[in-house]
This record gives sequence, C-alpha cells and structure tokens, in this order.
Amino acid sequence: MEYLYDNTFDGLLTCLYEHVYTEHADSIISVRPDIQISLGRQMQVETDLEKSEKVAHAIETKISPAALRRAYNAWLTAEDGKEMDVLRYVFLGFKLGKDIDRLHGSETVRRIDVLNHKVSWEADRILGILRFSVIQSPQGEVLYAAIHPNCDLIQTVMPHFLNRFRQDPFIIHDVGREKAAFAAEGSWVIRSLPKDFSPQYTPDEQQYRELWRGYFKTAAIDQRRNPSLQKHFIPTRYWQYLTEMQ
Amino acid sequence: MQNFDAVMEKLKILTDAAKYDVSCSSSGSERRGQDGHLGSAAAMGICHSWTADGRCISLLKVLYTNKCVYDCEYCVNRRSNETPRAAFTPRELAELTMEFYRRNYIEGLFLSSAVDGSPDRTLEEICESLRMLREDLGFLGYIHAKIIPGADPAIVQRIGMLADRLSVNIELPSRESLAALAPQKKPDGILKPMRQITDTMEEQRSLTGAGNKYSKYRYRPKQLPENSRLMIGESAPRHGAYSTDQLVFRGAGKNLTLRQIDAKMAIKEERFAPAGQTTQLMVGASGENDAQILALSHALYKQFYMKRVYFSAYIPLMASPLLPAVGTSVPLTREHRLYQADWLMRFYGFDAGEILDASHPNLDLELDPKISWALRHPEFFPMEINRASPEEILRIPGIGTISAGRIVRQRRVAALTYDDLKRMGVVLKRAKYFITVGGRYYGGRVKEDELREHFILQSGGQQIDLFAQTDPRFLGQTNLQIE
Ligand code: SF4
Repeated sequence: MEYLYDNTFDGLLTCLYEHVYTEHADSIISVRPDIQISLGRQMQVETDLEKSEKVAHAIETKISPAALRRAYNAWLTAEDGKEMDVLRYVFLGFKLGKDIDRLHGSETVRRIDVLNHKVSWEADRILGILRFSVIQSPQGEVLYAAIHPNCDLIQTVMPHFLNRFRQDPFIIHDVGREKAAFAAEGSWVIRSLPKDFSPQYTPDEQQYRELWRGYFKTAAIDQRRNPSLQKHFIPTRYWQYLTEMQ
Repeated sequence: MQNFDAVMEKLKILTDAAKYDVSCSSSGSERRGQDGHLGSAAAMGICHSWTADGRCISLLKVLYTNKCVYDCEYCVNRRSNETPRAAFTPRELAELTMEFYRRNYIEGLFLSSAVDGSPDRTLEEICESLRMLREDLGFLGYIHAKIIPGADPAIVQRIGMLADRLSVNIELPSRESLAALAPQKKPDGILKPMRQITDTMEEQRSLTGAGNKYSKYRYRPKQLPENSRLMIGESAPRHGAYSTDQLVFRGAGKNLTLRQIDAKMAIKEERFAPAGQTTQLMVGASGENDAQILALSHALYKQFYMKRVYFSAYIPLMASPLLPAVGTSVPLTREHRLYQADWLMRFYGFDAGEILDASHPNLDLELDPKISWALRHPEFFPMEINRASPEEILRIPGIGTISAGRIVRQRRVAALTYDDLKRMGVVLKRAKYFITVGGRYYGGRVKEDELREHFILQSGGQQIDLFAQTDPRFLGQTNLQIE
C-alpha cells in the first residue's frame, strides 16, 4: 500500500499509526500539487493529531526522547524516501528499545545518522553564513535574513538567534519554502512570506556591507590562496548567502 | 555613517597588519583549523566565512593601532619599518564591531595592538573602546583582548572585566631569543600579567564556585512551558502541503530549552576573563627544538592553567641577519606536528616524555606523532579491539576519540567485527596493522620495518589526505583530530 500524507511531521506519525492498525505501508509520499498521482493501491492518510501524539509518546517512552528528535530531524531533510527510513527506524526502535542508537552497524540506524548529519551540518553552516541586513519598518529597525536551505531548518536555527538577539526583532526567511520566522522580544512565530518579499534597507546598510567586503579581502593571505580548500569548507551553492562573495 | 572612507582605510591597514602571525597581532589560531576554536568557549565555535586561503573567519581580527615604538626584529610593524600607519578611535572600533556582529558577520572581536607611546597608554584606549562596546552598545559577543607585555596591573584588571579571553604572547620560546629578537620586551613583563591573570581567575573561582567558562553576561535559560508548542500552532494558519507550522516544536520534544529572554532575568556577572587565557609560541624564528617547545608548552598549561598554547610557524617577512632569510619556507608541517603532539598529551593520555626524548628531540615531519610512537613501541601491539581498555584503544593509530567512543559503546551490546569498525569510521588502512578483531589479525604480512615506509607513502598527498581522514563532522572545524 502506498500512503499519501500532507508533508507534516504529524502526518508522517499518523502514517506510522495506520501502518500498524490499518495496513502495512510499502511507501509513503507527500501529496504535492506538482506530483501526478501514480497508479497502484494508494491511501490518503488524514493527519490526526490524536494518533500522531500517541505515536510520538510511544517513541519517547519505548525508545527515547532522543529517538523522536532524530526521527524528526531526519524528516526535515529533502531526501527521497526519508519517510520510509523513519518508519524502519521507529519500528526497529520499538523492538530494540533505547539501545538502538548504539547500533552503528545497522543500515537502518546508519541511514538515520546520515540524515541527521545532513540537517545538523547544514544548520551549523547556516548559523555562520546567514547574513542579516538592517531594514526599515514602521516600528523601527528590523534584522532580515533570506536563506535557501536544502533542509527545512528555520526552527532548528531559531533558538540560537533568539538567544543572540534577545530584544531585537528579526526575520529569517526561507525563500524556497516561502515562509519566515518572525521574532521579537523572545517570542516567535512562523508565517508564510512570499518569495518576492523585498524589504527597504537602511541608508547605512550598503556601507557596512562594503566595509565587510573590504575586511574579507584584506584578511586573505595572497601567498596562500587555496580556492579548493575554501570550497571544501563552504560549497559554492552557499556562496549566494555571502555578502563578501558578491 | 559620515566617516565611511576614513574607517574603510583604517580597517584595511589594521586588518592587513594583523593577518600575519608575526607581530603583536599573532592570533592564536590554527592555520588549518578554525580560528581559535579548539577547546575554547562555544562563543568561538562558529565560522562565518572562509578566506581565499581557506581559513575560517570567526572574529573581527584587527590591531587597534599599528603605530609602534618598539622595534622587534621579526615584525612588520616595528618602528624602523616603513609601512602605512593607522589607529582607530574607541568609538569607531566599537561601532564597527557592533554593526558586524548584528549582521552575523562575526562572533566577536579579536583585538591586539602595537605599542603606541607606551603599553599603558595604548591599553587605556583599548579599554575605553571595549567599555563602549559592552556598556553603551550592549554588545554580548565574544572579545579576545591581547595584553601588551609590561602593562600596569590596574589596566589588566579592567580589560579582564570586559573581555572573555585574555592573552599575553610569549612568542620567543627562550630568554636568549627574546633578548636577541625583541629586546624591548622583558621576560618579566610577559610573565607578570600572565601570573596576574591566572591568580585573578583562581581567586574568583574560589569566591564564586565552579564553572566560569561561559560568557560573562549570562542569561538564565528558561524552559518553555510544555504546551508552548501549541501556542505557535494556534496562532499560525495552515497553508497547503507545506504547512509545518503546527509542528515547530514537535520533534524537539520536551527537551527543548529555548532561551526566552527577559531583560530582568539577565544577570550581569562581573567576571574576569571567563574564557581564560591563552598564549602563543613562535616556531622557527629561533633555534629551540621541539622537545624544548613542548616542555615549555606543558609547563604553561600546568602553571598558568592556559586554555590553549598556540604555535605559530614563523613567516619570514622582515630581512634580518638574526632571522631566517625572507622567502625561506614557512615551517607549517612542523607547526602542525607540534599541535598534534600537544593534542596527544592533552586528550590521548600521552606524556611529553613518551612523544619525544633525548634520542628524538624533534618530531618526525613525515609521520604524525601517534604513528611514530606506535612504530617505536611494537610491544603494545596488536591490541584486541574487543578487550582493550578505552585508554589503550585511544593509542591505536587510525582510531580517533569519536570512533573510540563508538567502539566502547557498541561492544557493550555485541562483540565487534572487522566490518563494524569500517562503519564506525575507523581508518582501517592504518589501524589494521595494530589490532586484532575477535582474535584475528588483518594486517597481512607487512614487516615491521616496512611499515614506516608504508605509512609515509599512505600519507603522500599530505594535506588534502589529512582532511579525507577526518571525521566529516569536524571538517571546517579542525583536522587536528588524530586517528
Ligand atoms: S611590539 Fe614588537 S611585535 Fe608588537 S607591534 Fe611592536 S614591533 Fe611588532
């Protein structure tokens, strides 16, 4: 049976529930407007918060809270087949209990390791390379950053910036997913924000960018130019973030 | 910004003057690794960019001024060298730092300086700039300040209350070379502030109890109430298939400690240099051997509780009869081996005397010190991976701290096989000669004396290979992970 779900984590947990109580899932795919419905036996799974809560609770108690977090992080990636990877991991976990994460030899566990690593790698990078601009709003200055991550990780990086900016309002915009986190005074929400959002920068903004570029260029030691090492640390697909590379 | 052009000019001069590790600017950074990250407070753990030579940028690293009354033989800023000079004003530097920090360009400031007039006069200005940054602009980022040798204790104290980390650089690893190459700096002028910093930290620790390695301005993290994830869900509408709004906190489970900040909860702890002190030794400008350098670094860790002792390969930029000629190659490999040796002593349980001794006063440039040691001590090998103690496992070439941890954890569940090791990230092409797995030896028939050649061949292609063997999670942080 092929399950269709609404591309939410609760939706996926509901699928795991149905997997046990209705019929085995052979594949789980998200319904997106751009995907043609394929042939074969399919079931549309309605996200049910009660069912998903039960599954989440079972994972936390029968395996561990860390396992729930790892399943969630794996789901944040943009990998094909991540849903079944999570399913296999969770059911192996129900068998093995909290020891599951010690089983580095198992393919299923390793796959979840790999997916988790993708998210944490990218989130770590984003913490460093995300660039705020100071924009003008009717309420005063606001910090604004646009990002294009592979993984769906706004919520993963938020605690870091909330801690850093405390009172200052800021916005982190996932341009590809057309949503943004809006934060002020320690609280925040995620709302949709269109791709073409174009803010109004403060007059000084351009000058500080130039100062930063000046710093960046001067800090490099010419005798030791090593572009391949540079690319090794920061793959070119992330260069679009970097004020200093533009 | 009215003085844009002037600030740009100063920024360029004072960045340029700070970028080579041969002046008061020396950075305490690992060239191949991340700027001062290792073993330091989390504040410096983030790379914000990578320069064209592949170094991580984490801090704004500049000199306050490069106008210098001293004449150190090896330094581009020495009085007798002709070079453009500049100095920030306290406000310029404070504002620049704050604006860079807000935009997430940097984690903080790494500030050193030449000696303009006198050490105390220069440090007064620096202190004022840091005060402005902290108190007037509310900067909570990281500050590493360099103390100039010979500074008055009162100014050291005040800067220590503003900075996270302090350092006084030794640079020349013996009295003789100091007298020859930096005659205006006196050993006493270096050691006194160092001692003062250590004593002050000790005193404060005894007053306030444990734990002072985090930021000076600490905010009490507040656990979100359990139902707070619903708070978000309720206010956010679902929109189409992409809606994850309701689930923002779901996966984070109940362990999420989102630090919700409330100004009244901020405790400003009057702490002196909460991230400790570091120092740096220059390698290759003077004649000391590796054994002397390691012994000195060891003593510095012991006596001053250094967070880190950095080594800096000397880059010959200044012509001098007392120094290697301009254009001589920079002893980068030697610097790297010293870091590795230092790492073995601090995290792998090796003693200085095991790594180097009278018959081996210098590190082997061709092989990392761990393999060198293993080859000199065949009596310890091969080790049975399922029985060896954790300390023993750490001594096996090809196994780093991470894979050692995995081995120890997983063998509690089931005995390990050779394939398990591969999956755990053990570098088998090295480790296999030193281990047995379930009683079986996988190293084939390489003779002991051939092994050395074998490993040198393996490490051919050097640098990039070093990266390849590093746990990918540590890429971009350091390749000092020794396996
Ligand atoms: S004190 Fe010596 S090392 Fe420092 S800037 Fe002046 S000349 Fe250079």
